[in-house]
Amino acid sequence: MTEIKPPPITREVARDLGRARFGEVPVTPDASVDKARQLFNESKAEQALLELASPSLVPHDEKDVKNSLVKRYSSERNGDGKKVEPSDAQERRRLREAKGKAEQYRDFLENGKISPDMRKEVKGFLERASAGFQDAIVGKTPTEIDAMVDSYVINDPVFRSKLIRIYGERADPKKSMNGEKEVHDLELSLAKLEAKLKGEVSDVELQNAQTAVATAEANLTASGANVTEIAGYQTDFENLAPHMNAARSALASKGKIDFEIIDAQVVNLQSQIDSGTLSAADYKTTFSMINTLKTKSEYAEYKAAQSTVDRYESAKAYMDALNPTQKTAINEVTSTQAKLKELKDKASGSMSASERADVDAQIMSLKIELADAKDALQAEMVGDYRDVTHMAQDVTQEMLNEEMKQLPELYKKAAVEESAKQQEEVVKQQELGDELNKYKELELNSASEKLLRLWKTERTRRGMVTLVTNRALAGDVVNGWVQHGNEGIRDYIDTIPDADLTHSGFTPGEISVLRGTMVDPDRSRVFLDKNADVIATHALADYFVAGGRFGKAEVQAMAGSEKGRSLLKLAMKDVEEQRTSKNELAGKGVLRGVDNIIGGRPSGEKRRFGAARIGLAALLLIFGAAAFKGSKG
Amino acid sequence: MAHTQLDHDFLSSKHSLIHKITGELLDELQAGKLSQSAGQQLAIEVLEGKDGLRSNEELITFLKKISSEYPFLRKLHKDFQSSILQSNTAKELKKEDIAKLEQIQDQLVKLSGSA
Repeated sequence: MTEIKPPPITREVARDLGRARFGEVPVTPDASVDKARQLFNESKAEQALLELASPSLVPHDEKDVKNSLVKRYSSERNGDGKKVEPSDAQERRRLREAKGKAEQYRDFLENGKISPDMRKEVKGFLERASAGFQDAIVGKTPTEIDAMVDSYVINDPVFRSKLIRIYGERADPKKSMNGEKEVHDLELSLAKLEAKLKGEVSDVELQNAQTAVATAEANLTASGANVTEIAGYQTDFENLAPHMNAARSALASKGKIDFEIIDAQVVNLQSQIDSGTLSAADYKTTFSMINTLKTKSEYAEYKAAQSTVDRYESAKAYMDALNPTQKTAINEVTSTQAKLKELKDKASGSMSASERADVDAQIMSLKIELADAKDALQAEMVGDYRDVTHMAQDVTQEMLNEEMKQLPELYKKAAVEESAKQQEEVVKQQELGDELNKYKELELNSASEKLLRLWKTERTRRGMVTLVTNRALAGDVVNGWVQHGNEGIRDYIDTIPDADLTHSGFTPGEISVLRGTMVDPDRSRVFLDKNADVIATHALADYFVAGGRFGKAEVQAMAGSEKGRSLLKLAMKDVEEQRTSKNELAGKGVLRGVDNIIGGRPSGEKRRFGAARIGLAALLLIFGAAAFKGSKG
Repeated sequence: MAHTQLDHDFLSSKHSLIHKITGELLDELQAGKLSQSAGQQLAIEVLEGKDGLRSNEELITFLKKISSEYPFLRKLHKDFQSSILQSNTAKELKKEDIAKLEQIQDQLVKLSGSA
């Protein structure tokens, strides 16, 4: 037997096979080892495994899961760097939905409660992805469809066991976004580089600062102030200001009075010296005393402090005496000069132009990397959000995929069985057809036999039923055949009413098969090729046996037609074949007819023989021999 | 769920193997040697993996994998592997016997034809 190859799995095939998914209600397990053992003892190993695979314990603490979702979907941190509830609308939405779905899955796993949202998720997927489901829900109400989803998918123990596994993986509180660290590292690197660049002074900044100083100085000049004096006093003021506290303290110190007395004495002595009133000895003593006093370090310090205070106060008094415009101008000059100085100080330690260009390039590159990393993180967040909110759908898809893997085998089996059945059916039909054809053939043979006596009618004589040839009918048959060959016989058969056929002994089956054969061009041709000559020759024989004779016209027509001539040739041949048995037939009256036909007379007088006469004589000889043979048989 | 059209012997050995794994698993659980979560994990692994197994070689590979994770299945793995080997050897021998018989028959036919 040749191997039956199944056709490819088309969408339609998959659809048919997919229907099987929605015809079987799974058994709801009762999770306990004892129950599993009981099932195992009943040789239900797979049921036992289902019991063990679906315990009530759902992985991860509910609160931990929620916190981990905040950690995953929020990009905001508090002062301690800890992730907090997001403020971004998209992140808030993702977090809200993910928390909701995680809660629903948990509720189902812990309490068996199927939320409308979860059912909608599974149903939506089935409606999109399963042709079998699409077919199964045709004509169903929404309530019935929901019941199907619950019964055939969600309450399937395999669904539950898969959901537990997927929930364990996707809701794991330890899970975090892989891209977080990369974004953080890049942000840190970028901040460092930008901080480095902030210490740099650009040429433009320096130029601006110098311009500001020049403007301020011009304003000061315009205010009518003596810039040179102001510069001197201002320098004193600025230089002495830091030392003022120390100088004042020195002046207010314990030795202040002493130094003032000394000062007074020095002045007094000096005046005495200058007046020349002192004696030489006094002068020497006084001069020595003054020098001694002046060389004392405390005195020198006192004098320096006093000078500092005096100069500062003098400068301050000068500055205070300036008008407001001049004061403003001076302040502007001071601040712009300070800014310029600051910039110049910075510039003295800054990087070169090429170093700066390098840092700029690094910053640009980091910014691009950071943008890409943030995009990748967002994509990861969205992907993770999708994973958390589509657990039920993914479980359903996994189940369908596993079943789809089996489709080729299932289909092969179904197709092979179907093909084998079809082959069996074909063989059966063939056998039946052969039987039928055989039977029809028999009926047709029987019908063709009966066609040979259609020109005969029954006659009862002295209680004996015999068949008597209706010579006119037989003549018509021969005529039809002579004139039109096989078609003449066809016309003859077609014009016989069914009633006449029935009357002649045809069964309804024989009539049916005969009519069926005659209307079929091929079969009727074969039938007539086989039987027309036989019918014609039988009709001819009966015609002659019944005393019929051909007139000149018929004989000429016969000799002149191809059919007639072929029949004559056939007859002549048969005559030759029958010649061997002629002696046995002689004397039994068979040849007497031949003599009559060919015109011989008992007296022995010879008549003129024509070709037609010889032919007819030969025919009669054949039929006579056949009739004799038949009577013997 | 309908089964695939696979060799009857294979299906039979697959069912037998799953039955044995389940028995071993239950024994471990009831003896307190295995935690319920580990038992659950193994049950899930077997349930989810069984439909994809389509040959004795795949059965052995699967059993090897889970026995590396659950040592109490190692003996089962070893026994099953040797039984499959024996069965394959027996099948080979049977095939050889059939081939020999056919060869002898052919020779007899030839001899009787030439006689």
